[in-house]
Amino acid sequence: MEHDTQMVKGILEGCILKIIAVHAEMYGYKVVEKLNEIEFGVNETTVYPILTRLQNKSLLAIEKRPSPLGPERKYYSLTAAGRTYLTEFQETWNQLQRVVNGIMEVTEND
Amino acid sequence: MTKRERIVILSSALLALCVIVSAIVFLIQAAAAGNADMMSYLVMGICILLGVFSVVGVYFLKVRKEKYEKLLNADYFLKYEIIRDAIFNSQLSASGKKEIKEDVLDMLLSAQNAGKSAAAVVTNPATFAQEILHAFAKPSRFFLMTLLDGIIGFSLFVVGFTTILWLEQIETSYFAIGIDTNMTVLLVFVAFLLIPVTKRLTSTERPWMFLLPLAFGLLFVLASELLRALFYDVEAVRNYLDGTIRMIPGWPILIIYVLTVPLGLVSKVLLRKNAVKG
Repeated sequence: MEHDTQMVKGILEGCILKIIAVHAEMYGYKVVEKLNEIEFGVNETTVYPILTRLQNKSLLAIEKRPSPLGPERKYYSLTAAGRTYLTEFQETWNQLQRVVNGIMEVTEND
Repeated sequence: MTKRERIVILSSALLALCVIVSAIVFLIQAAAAGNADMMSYLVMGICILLGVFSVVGVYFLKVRKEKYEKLLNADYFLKYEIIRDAIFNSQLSASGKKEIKEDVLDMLLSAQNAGKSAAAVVTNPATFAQEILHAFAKPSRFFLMTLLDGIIGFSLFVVGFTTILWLEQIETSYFAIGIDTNMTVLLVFVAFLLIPVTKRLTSTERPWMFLLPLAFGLLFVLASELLRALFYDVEAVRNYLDGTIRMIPGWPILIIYVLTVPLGLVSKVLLRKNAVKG
């Protein structure tokens, strides 16, 4: 999947928030692994700037803990604003999916 | 030591050498004219010390690997050092830079530990670094902060140079001191063009860009000498080469220069804070 488009980046934001919400908290590399398990096909350099942006927008809270590999590791969890944003994203996505699927079906029937 | 690190050290050593040689030539000329006094030897000693310490400083700041950086293998480190330089050269706060550096290290060490290749994880380190920076502020805001750096730098250069020249002729009024016109032009170029352009270009995969300040300095001297040899009969060229400008003609201007520094720094802090909020 091409990750450079604004649309895919917007969708990735929602997916990353959902993955973190499901697991309560998560660190950056695990988010990449989870996305790739569902075949999103992203690498670390795509995900890290998005996590930083979500943190700067106060949608994610962070807690630093020692890591077995290197410097302190950042664990992300959703803030109240993050949960609200995720709910809105899910509603928008469901609506958009219905509309787009409707258009695609009409086009195919025509 | 990577190729990038070798070029960084070479660039700083060559710059230091230029400063030291200039100081020695200046002293020899002063001695030949019978003007070499205790102060001249002191200035030369300070120049040599500054030159040597600048190379040591560059080694500790830009070349010596920190504890966790040593854990990255060669392929990962080649990618990491470009990201690190881009973040180090950016307009983020010191704490912001440290935080990103640690995050990137954790991310790369995790990927390395999982057996992924560096090329698969970081396709383009310079673009990756720019994307991280864009998560903090728009490029226009970074440009504004760079412009403020230029204004602060230029003010410090002017006040610093005027003060040094005044100390050499302390019987003269501070406000009568003039800086050479070509030196003033050089200060403008260095503050507003050379420093930001060098920072930008060394944040990429082109390590030779670390030699840009040295190349610029040599070109500037060469251009001045060519102008002197070929166009000295033109009045504007004569004024440029041998004229002086009183950059601080009175108290109000001095106060403006001095106030520019704290006002510029406060403006940068506010720009940075609002950028992250927005």
